[in-house]
Amino acid sequence: MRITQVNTQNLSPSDLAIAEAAFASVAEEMGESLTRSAFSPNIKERRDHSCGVFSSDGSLIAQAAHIPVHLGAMPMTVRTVIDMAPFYKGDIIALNDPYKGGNHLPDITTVAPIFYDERLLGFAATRAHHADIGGMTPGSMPVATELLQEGLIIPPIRLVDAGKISQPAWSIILRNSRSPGEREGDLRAQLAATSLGIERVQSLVARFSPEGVQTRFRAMLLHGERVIREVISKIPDGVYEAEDFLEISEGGKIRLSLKVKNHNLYFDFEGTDPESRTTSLNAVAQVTESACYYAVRSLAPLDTPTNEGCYRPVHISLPKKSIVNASDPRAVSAGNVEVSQRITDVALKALSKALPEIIPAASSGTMNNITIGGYDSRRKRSYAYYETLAGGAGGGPQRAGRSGVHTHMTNTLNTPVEAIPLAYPFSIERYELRTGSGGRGQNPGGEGLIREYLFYEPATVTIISERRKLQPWGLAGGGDGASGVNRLIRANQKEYELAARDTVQVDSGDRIIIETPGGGGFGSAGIS
Amino acid sequence: MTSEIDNAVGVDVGGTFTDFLFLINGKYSVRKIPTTTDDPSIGILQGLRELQTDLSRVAHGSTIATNALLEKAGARTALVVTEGFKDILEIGRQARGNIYELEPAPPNLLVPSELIIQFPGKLTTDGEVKSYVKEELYKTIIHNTIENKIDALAICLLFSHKNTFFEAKFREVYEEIKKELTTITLPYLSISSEVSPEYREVERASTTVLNAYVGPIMSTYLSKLEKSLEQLQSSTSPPTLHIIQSDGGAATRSQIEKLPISTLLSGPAAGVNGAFSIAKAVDEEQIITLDIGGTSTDIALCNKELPYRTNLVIEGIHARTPVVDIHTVGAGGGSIAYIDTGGALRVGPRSTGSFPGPACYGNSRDLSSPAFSVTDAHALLGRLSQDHFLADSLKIDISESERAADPFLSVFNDRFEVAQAVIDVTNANIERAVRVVSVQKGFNPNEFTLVPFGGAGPLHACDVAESLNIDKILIPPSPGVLSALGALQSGQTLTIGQSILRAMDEKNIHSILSDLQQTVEIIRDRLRSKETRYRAVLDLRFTGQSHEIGVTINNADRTSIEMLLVAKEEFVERHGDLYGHSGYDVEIANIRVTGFFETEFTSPKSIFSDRRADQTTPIISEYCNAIFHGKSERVPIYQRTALNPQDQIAGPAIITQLDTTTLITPDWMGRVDIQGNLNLLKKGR
Repeated sequence: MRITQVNTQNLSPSDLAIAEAAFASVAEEMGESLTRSAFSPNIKERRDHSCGVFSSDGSLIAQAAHIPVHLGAMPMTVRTVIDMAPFYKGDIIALNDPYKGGNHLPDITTVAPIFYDERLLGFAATRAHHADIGGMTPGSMPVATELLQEGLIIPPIRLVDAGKISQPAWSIILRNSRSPGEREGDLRAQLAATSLGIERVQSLVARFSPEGVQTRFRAMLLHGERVIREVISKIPDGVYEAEDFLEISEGGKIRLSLKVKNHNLYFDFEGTDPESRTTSLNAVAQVTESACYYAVRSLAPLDTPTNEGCYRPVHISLPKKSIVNASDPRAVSAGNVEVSQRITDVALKALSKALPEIIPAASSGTMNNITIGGYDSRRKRSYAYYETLAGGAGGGPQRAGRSGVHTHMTNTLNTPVEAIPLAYPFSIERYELRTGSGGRGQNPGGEGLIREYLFYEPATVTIISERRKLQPWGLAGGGDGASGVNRLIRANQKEYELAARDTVQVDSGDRIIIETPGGGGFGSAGIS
Repeated sequence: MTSEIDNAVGVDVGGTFTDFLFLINGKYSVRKIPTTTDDPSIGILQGLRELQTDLSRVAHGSTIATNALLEKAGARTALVVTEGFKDILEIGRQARGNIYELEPAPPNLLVPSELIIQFPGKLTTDGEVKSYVKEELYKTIIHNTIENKIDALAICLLFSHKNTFFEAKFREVYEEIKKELTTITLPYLSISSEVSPEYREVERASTTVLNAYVGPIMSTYLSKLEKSLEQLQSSTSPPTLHIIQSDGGAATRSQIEKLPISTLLSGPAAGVNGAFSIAKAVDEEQIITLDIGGTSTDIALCNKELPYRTNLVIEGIHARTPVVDIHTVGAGGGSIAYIDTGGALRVGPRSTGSFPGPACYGNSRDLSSPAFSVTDAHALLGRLSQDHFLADSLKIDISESERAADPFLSVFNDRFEVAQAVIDVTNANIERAVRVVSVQKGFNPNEFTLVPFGGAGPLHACDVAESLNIDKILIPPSPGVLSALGALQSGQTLTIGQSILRAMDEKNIHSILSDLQQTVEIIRDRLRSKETRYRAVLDLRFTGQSHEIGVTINNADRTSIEMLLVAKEEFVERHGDLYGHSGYDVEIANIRVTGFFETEFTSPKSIFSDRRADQTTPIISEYCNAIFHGKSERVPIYQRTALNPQDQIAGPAIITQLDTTTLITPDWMGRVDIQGNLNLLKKGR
C-alpha cells in the first residue's frame, strides 16, 4: 500500500471521512423521511426521488439518489434558485420548469435555504416524480410536441414564504393535477423532508462550527474531485467517438466525441441532431450531464462520495437546440426517461473503445414508460398511474447480462401485481421474462420481459418507449438484443401493434402487452 | 411452561464458540466450548454432559437455517406459481442492488428454472375462482416431485391472500398422499398462505421458497437434537427443547419445523433480548444495544419493548417474518483501514476475518504489508492490556500493529495519530448506524441508555455515546454471553398474520375486530396455555399509501371497538410526529397477532462468586499507559470478576474480563450496581 499526501484543506483524512459520513447521513435521513411519508406508489414503492445538501454557492455536498438521472440535475436547480435571493428563514422554493432548473414536469423539486445565526450556510433540496401534473394525458408523459401540453409549468416560486404555505400557489398546483389528494400528500412529504434536512444541517453546524463546516465542504469537494481524477487517470488519453440513434423520424442521432486528456474528460456532442419538434424526445442540458456523470461514476470505486467535486474533471459541451440540449418551448418528458438512456449508451460505447475490458454491451436502452388514467367508477375517483418496465442488461466482460432488470439511468421498483387492483381498475395477467430476447454471445445479453395489462373500465393509456426498431447493440462480436414490441388486443381478440410512442383509448376487456428489449451480447464465442 | 426457568440452559451457537448459560438452583454459570461446525448438536451435547442436575429446558439460538442459506446448502426446491408468472423470483422487484454496477450482479435464486412449475388455476383480483383445475393435477405435481427426488416444494399462487382455495387444496392432497405412501418421505411442503398470508407476491413467494429451502435441513437437525436430549437424562423426562426465533421468542420443535424461516436472526435477536432483560431488571427500559463483533456491528433500539419489524432481506432474498429490528453495519474489530484514492481514511467493510485476524494476533508476520485493523488501533493506544487480552489465551504482538500502521505515516504524524484516526472513523460509522435506528425513526438517542456488548462493544461505548449525546451506558456482567442469556430468559411466542386491506371506517370496524379475534383464537388453540398473553400489531396507513406503520394493541384478546379506534388515533398522531403531516382516511393492511408467555427475569448477579457488597475500593491489578487524543495517561487496569457492587471507578480505566475489555475514557466514570452491571456516567452529570 502506498499512501501519498494530498490537499485536504488541513482537514485530517479521518475528519474528512467523518464529515462525509455526517452529511451523507443527512441526505439519507431526508430520503428515508420522504419514502416513508409520501403517498403515491411512484415515490414510496418505486423510490423515484432524491435528496441533497448544498453549500451556499449551490455546490452539491451530499446526495441520496436512488436514481442516476437525478445525479447531475440538482446542482443546476439550486443555482437557479440562488438567483431568488434574498432568502428568509422558512422559505421553501418549488419548481418543475425544465428550462429553469427542472428535469421534466412530473419531477417537482423543493429547495430551502439553511440558516445558522442569520447566516446562509447552504441549501437542502428534494426532488420527486409526481404521478400527474396535468397535461394532455393522465400521468403527464404524453406524446407531445410542446412543453405546455405536458402539464402545469411551475417556475421557481416561494411555495413556502417565511414559514407560511402560499395558499394560491398550493391550490393552483393541486387543481392542475388529476389526482390532487395524492399530490397534496406527496408535496407535504417533500416539505417535511426538506425541513428535516435544514434541522439536521443546523445541528452539524453546531457540532463543527460555521467555519468548520465551510472547511469541510471545501475538503469534501476536493476529495470527490481527486477520486474521479484517479478514475480518469486509468483511461488512456485519446479521442473516442461513438453515435447511436433515437427513433425519431426527422433525425435522432446522438453523436459524441470523448476526449481524455490530463486527468480530464471532455464530452463533446457536436454533430447531434437538432431538437425534436414532433416528439418529447428532448433532453435538457442537465439531463445530458446526469447521463455523462453516471457513465463516469460507474467506473469509480464503491466508496466514492456523491458531491459536485466529482464533476469538476468532467467537461461537457452541448450544441444549442439539439436533442441533448433542448430549448423552450420544446416538449421534454421523454428526455429524462428515454434520451438519457441513449446518451448513456453513446457515452459507454465511446468508453468501450478505451476500456474494452470493462464496458458491457448495450442494455435495453428504454424505460418502457406506461401511464394509465381514467375514472374509476368503483372507487368514484379519477386516477393516474405511472410505471416503467425493465429489460435485459447487456452482457459484459465479466458475466452474462441480468434479465428483467432496470439499467443505467433508472432503478425504480415494479408495483406488486397484487397491489395494483387495490387502487386501480386494471390488473396484470402475465409478467415474465421474454425468452430469446437477449443478444447471443460468449456472455449473452439479459432477457427483456413481458407484462400484460387487462382493463376493467375505459382508460387512456400512453406508452413512451424506445428500441422498438433499433436493437440494443452487442459488443466484441456479440449479437444485438431483440427490439421491443407494444401490442393492443381488443376485447373481441383483434390485435393491433402500437407505436413506440402511442396513446390509445382502451375499453373494458381490452389488453395491452408490452415486450421489452433484451440486452446486447458480449463476445463472439458461443455464436454458431 | 410457567414463569420459572430454574434448571435450564440457554445455548448460543456462534461461529467459533458455543456459549452455555446455566441457571441451576438459582445460580448462573457460564461455559464455552468450541463449536462443532458440521453438526452443532454434537457440541451442544458435549456442553450438557457431566451435569449433576437434570434440566427442565434447553433454549437454543440456532444458526442452522441461516448457514444453509449462506452456504447455499439448502434443499433442492421446486416452486409452483400461477401461470404467466414463472419468473417471479428472477425478476423480483426489477431493481439492481448497486445503481453504479455496469454489469448488475445476478439475483440469488434458490429454485433452478427447470423446477418452476406453472399452475393454471387462477383467482380474480377479488379472490374468486376464475378457472378451476382437475384434482388430478395436484396429485401429478406432488408425485412428480417425489419421482424427481425434490426435497422441498413451495407453493405461491397469486391472490391467495384473498382466497386460499388452490393452496389449501394442495395441502389436502398432500396429506392424503402422505397417508397412502407411508414408506416414502414426501418433500417438505411450504405454502404461501400458511407461511406468509399477506399481499405483495414477490415477497410472499420469496419467503415461501426460503422457508422450503431451509425446511428439510432444519427438520433433520431438530429431530437429531431432540433424540440426543432424550438420551441425556435417563432418570427423568427429557428437557423441553426450545429454539429462539428472530423475534426473540422461543418456539417448540413442531412450530419451528413448520416455519424454519422464523429462525434466521435467532442468535442476534436473543442477544438483544438478553441485553433488554438485563436493562429492564434495573429499570432501564429505553436502551440502544451495540453489539460490536469481529466484522460487523448490530444495533437495536428498544423503547420499552423489543423493536420489531416484519421483514428482512438476507443474501438478497426477501423474508417476511417477524424479526427484532436489528441494523447491521460493516464495522468491527477486524475491519480494515485504508486511505481511499482521494485521500480520506476509510474503515471497513472489508475485514481481516477470523484468519489472519488483526495484525497484532501475529498471523500476518509473513506478509510484507499486513492490514491495519480497528483492533490494532486499540492495541497501539494501549487499550488491550497485553497480559489480559482474551484471558491469556492470546498474546498480542504490538510490533505487528506498528508495522501495519507504518504505511499511514505519510499522512499522519505518528502511529498514535493513525490509531486514533482509525478509531474516530469507526465510531463515526457506528454513530451513523445508530442514527438509522434512532433519529431516522423519530427517537432522540439522548433519552436512551447505551448497552454495549460483543467482543468490542465496551471498548467503543464511551466515544459512541459522546457523539450521540448519550450520557448513560450499561455494561452487563458478562457481555459475551448475552445471546445465551436471551435464549435462557426467552418466553414462548407464536405469531400469525393476515392481510385485511380495508378502510378503517365505521362500516368495516366490526369485521376488522372479528378478524382479529379469530386470529387470537387460532393462536389460543395452538399454544393451549392459560398464561398466554396476546399482542396485536395493526399495519395502518393512509388510503393510497403503500407503507404501513405498525400500531400495537396489548392484551389483544380483549380488543374492543374503542381500542381499535384508539389505535387509529395513535397512528394518525405518530405519522404526524414522524413525518410532519397527517390526517387523511386510514386503512388497515395487515393484522399480526403474537401469543406469548413471559418468563420472570432472574438477575444474573450470581455469575460472580460471593462477595461483600460494601467494599468500595476496587483492586487495581496493574497499570498501563494508554493514549487519549494524543495524550499518554497512566491507566489502572481492573479485573471485572474482582469488582463488587457499589465499586466506583473514575476514568481513565480499563476493565478486563474473559469475553471483553471495557474502556472508561477520561470524561466518564463507572459504578457497579447491585446486579453486577457496570454503569458508566458522564462525569459531572
